[in-house]
Amino acid sequence: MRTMRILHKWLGLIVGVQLLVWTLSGLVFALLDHHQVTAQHSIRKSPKPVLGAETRLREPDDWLGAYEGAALRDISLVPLAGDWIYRVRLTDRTELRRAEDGSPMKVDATLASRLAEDLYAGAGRLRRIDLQTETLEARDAEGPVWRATFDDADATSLYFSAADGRLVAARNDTWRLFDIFWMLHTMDYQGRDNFNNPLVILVATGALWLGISGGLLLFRSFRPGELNLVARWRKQRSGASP
Amino acid sequence: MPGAPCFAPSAFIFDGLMRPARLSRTLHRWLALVLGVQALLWVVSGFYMVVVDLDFIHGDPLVRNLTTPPPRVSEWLPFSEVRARHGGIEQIRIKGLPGSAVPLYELATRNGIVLVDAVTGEQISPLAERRVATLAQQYYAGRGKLERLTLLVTEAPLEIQGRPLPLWRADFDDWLATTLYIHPDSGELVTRRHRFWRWFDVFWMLHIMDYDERTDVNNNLLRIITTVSLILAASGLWLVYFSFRRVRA
Repeated sequence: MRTMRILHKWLGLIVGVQLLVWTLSGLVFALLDHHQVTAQHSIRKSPKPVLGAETRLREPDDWLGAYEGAALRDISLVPLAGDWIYRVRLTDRTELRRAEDGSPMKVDATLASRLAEDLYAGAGRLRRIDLQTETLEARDAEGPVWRATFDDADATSLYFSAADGRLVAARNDTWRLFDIFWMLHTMDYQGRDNFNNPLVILVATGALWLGISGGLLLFRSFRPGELNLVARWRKQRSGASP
Repeated sequence: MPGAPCFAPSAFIFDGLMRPARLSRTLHRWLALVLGVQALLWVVSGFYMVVVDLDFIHGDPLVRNLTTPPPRVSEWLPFSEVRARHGGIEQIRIKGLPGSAVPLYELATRNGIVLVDAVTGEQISPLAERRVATLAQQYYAGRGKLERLTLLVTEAPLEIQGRPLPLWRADFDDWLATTLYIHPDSGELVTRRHRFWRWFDVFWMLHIMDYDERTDVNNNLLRIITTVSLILAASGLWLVYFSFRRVRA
């Protein structure tokens, strides 16, 4: 038991601060409204357009020769900002072509702005559109992204893939606050998401032993009768007024 | 250590102000008594989550053939022909599927997903049970055998909550108790589960204290217990300060 006491004391010293950080960040997660954090309320849910008979289609046969030798994954005919396009997925990249004539197209700033304004459901207005290659906020996306920044109260940003125009992330100040505490919680101070990193494993091992030793000490630290609060209260009262 | 901790509130506060070391100790012991089980559950579940590799939990090593390129054929049905035959199309995709010698058209329509042989134009969805069994084995990268194949129609198990039904559930007899979930129309692998994922899910439930849906991180129980635990952790740190000072003195 002496070993446990020493262990608990030293682990308390070494792991204690992180344990406090874990509890504090955990409290922040519990308090911040998760719907607000995910920013899903800032995205408009409109019914998907249906492919009409009048939409002109240039068949892939006419332009697929451009990908001779490339490793094709699939081709999709999808709506994008009011038009229909082919999304050609290759193993190493994605390309877009206009459905009407099969000509290649890129997601430029103008198209990205249109996508952002079509999808945004908040009260603000689009203030900036910029191309970013490495972002912490849209870190799950592969490749460069367009960031559309709105001037609402929660500073909402929508991120679109620069390769195929898909919405890849929706962020706001609530998420940004959440994410700082998420970093503190996972102890991944670079990518923020890897909670299998060596540091967190080391500290979690310490915390596990802190918990086990604490549990054992707790058993020993209470004397019989000490937990009988009613009896102790009575005793205290009778002692106070003899 | 001698001296019974005071229990009456006034004496408790008075004693605490006079002897902060005593207060920190009393606070820490009693809060630990009340919160001990949950605090232990947090460190144990947290330990599991950081130690077991997340990609393994997601079942990445258990599956293969997740993307199959559409097989090259000399001629396939044009997109416009597919559009003429089917109504309410929201998206058309030409793709491959493990075990299929021909490319397939996958249509997302108002009435769900439709799968079409891109050469003959014949509709092949919903997929036949034998076809799903073959698919399951082609997605599966483990050493077990397909033990059971069930079409889930009305009730989704908790482990795939939120996903629309119907879905095929393919259970394998390996030591991980691997389960693959396959879409009955598109033939895509929707998700996979195994023993360590299921434990992770239980630990996650214990971690966020949502015992029903296992998803609500904003529940009041969690909020209250976490708040009090903050005092437990803070009093512990406070106690560390005193316990090391005493040694020096």
